[in-house]
Amino acid sequence: MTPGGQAVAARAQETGAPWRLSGTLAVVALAAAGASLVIGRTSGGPTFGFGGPDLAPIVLMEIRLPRTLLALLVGGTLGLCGAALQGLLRNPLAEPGLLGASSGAAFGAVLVFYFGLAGADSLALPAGAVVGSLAALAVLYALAGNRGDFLTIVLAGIAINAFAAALTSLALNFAPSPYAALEILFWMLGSLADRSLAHVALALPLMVPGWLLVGAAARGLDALTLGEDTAASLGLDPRRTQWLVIGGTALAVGGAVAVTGVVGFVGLVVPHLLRGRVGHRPSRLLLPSFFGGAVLTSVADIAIRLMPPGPELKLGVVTALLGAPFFLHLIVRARPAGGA
Amino acid sequence: MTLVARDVAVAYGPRVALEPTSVELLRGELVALVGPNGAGKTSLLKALAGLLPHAGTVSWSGVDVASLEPRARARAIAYLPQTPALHWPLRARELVGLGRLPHRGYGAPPSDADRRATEWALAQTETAELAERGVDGLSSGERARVLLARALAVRAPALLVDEPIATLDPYHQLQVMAMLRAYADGSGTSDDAREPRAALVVAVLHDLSLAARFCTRVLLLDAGKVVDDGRPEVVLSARALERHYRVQPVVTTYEGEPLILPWRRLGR
Amino acid sequence: MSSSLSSCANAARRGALACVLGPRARAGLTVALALLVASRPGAAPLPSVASINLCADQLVLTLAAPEQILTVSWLAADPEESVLAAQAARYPLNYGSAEELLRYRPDVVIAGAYTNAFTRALLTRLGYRVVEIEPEESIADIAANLRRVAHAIGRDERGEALAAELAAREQEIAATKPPRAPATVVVRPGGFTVGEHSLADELMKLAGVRNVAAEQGLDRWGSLSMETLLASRPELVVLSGYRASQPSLANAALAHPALRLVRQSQRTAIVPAPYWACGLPASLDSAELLQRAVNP
Repeated sequence: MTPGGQAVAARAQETGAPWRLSGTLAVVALAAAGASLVIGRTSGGPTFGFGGPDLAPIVLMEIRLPRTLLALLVGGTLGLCGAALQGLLRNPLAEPGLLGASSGAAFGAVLVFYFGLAGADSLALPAGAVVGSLAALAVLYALAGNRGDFLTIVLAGIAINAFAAALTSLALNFAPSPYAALEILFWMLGSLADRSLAHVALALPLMVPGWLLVGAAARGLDALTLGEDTAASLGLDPRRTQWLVIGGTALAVGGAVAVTGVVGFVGLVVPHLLRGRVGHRPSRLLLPSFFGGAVLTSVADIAIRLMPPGPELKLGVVTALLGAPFFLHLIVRARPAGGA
Repeated sequence: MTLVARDVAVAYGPRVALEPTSVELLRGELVALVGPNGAGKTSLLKALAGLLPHAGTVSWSGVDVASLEPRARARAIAYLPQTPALHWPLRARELVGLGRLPHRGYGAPPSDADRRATEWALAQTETAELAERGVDGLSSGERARVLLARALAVRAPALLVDEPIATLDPYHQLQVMAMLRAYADGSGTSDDAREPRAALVVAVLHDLSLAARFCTRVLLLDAGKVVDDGRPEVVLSARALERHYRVQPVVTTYEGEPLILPWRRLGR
Repeated sequence: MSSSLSSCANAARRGALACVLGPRARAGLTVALALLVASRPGAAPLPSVASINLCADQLVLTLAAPEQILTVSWLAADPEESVLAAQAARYPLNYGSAEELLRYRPDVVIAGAYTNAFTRALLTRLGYRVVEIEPEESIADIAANLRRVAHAIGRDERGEALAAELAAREQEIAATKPPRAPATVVVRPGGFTVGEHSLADELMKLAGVRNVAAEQGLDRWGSLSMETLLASRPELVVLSGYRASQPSLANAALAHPALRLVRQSQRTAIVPAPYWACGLPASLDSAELLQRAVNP
């Protein structure tokens, strides 16, 4: 092929592939959403339909719809932020939980439980989680500073995670009763069950700005492929990229965890599966990862509802069961990603 | 259009890497930055590129580089680090295309000018046949040329490169030096062949023969100071090399061009 | 029948109408009203009840008329969890999700204070009446919850009756306390024990035994090291195991060799977990059980 012909083919590939991939995944996500609206779960196990004309509007609008929306939004958030973090840290093993946003949110929620505020209004719980995730971000900023390099950020995230986990254990230790401790533990396992549109309304104002911040970092992530110096020389400040990704992730993931508890591995698995399809280019991975995360989370949540009769499995448990073996497989197969 | 450094000094904590240095670099020059290891060559180059905190000012066409909007600066000054990092196995053509980021609006697809610049850069470094391959599958020399193509793709009027030929085979070392000379002469910064626009190229080099043959000007650094600045045959004298590199060189000519070979190490 | 004079004296309580009408007119009016009320379809029937918490389940099973109960939680039918498992098994069982409960169309939902906050909130948001009960930490709490649940399900009289029975039985058991309170340790899975301000502790006091852990300052619940247990020289060991047939690390505490040694020379009482997991009238059985262990 002539160089000119090569260029033309390259142009088609360059603009085509990620949009096709995103489009396909978006369609699959819509299909999953449709299934999620129709599939329910009662004492006898999975059901299909809405349980009679008088109940149908309520079941559809107040039970199925929030759950479906949250699966898409939370899954999308986790996928998007996972892709962004992997781009930022130049490491395919990075995950939104790394920064401490998830564990900070979990601790904030635990505090709400501990002081007995959760019973009064179930929105107090997500409010606590949001405050927790933003507090974790504030601590991260204080530790790493405006000129923090990536290693400092990662170490700060690990420290915050460890500290939040310790504080959570402490609160559990002093829980007013075993029932309170159990309630906290179950919440932390992650679930979409019985969430209402109020929770969607609570999470969206955090998620959407978070997505926008992360999206604004797309070009910076591409430039960082070549290292910080080259990225700076291309006019894309690595520090700005870094704080866009971190701030966006803390907001969006904080909002998600606030409502669903800790759902792990989606942000790890989805970008990994899709990276090869977009030519490893970080900016092109963002949108497909969003839809891929939405698909994965929706499918996992549908699978939960299709289980035999019994208490409902927790979503975080299912994603961990899928994700942890995948993670091990990655570690075993790990090879350096084309260092110079 | 000139790149002017006034009293630029760089220190890493207590260690002074570059003493206050003033130098004026003009378009059309291919400038070699030479000197022993640790002399401050990379520090000077990075300070000129606006990538290091430094004392003093660097200005491009009379405007302080630090006050330029980052993308404007990126369009004016292209930079290639000494050991460029490469974190994701992109296809070579995509990698070279990253050089067009300063020219592309946010979210806009690559324009025709971007595509032409990418193809031109691939051609200049003779890497067009590698364009569709993932960079992780390339040899280090091939990868180095692709990374250089990335810097060329910016088509900036000032091109600052740090040891661009260190890992290349002899054929490609000659090819790249000739290409850089042509770039300085004006082969590349404009699509329009009718108005070639000369560029400033500054290269940190260790190969003194190539520096002498291809460069129009040499800055010799030692211990953080510019100890000499001028034409290659003047700066790269045997005495200077003995004094600053502590090697006894063979300085001669071959086919009318300078030939400089480090021959023997000298004691302190 | 009271004279018209005393009826008028009571008028402020029963309403002025009682004073104006004579006794015969009142009787006639009452009969007419009763017929009117009874003839309206669905006239003041008992509210249908769904329960989604183990303790709430058992209170509902104790208080409600059988036709009221739509569903209880699956835990209530598990004999390892519930004192009333056999009774609960007669009803449809739920797993506590809002969608399930919708389909039962309950008039009132009884939940625990720590039942899934999201489920409770969603049910409230959908307009269902959700009544929450706190975990019982004393015999007085049992009576309070009896009344609370009874009121929520329209069975106030039965609630009062059971509360009265509870008080009476409490008196009976208190009357047969042993002359000297034996030092007692409670061993639960994982080495946990019960402290002051807990239902189990109050039942122990009622039975007339000394809770060593509470005397040492433990509040509500906590763990008990084997060493503390031995040093307290207990005269009565109370084992409150949970799912003893299933192997678990936690149950190993109940089989600790030191404990076995103590039990060889001292008395043992076994209180199945369901009696203390929730506060019920049946919980008083455990106090009697302790008394019998001390004084066979």
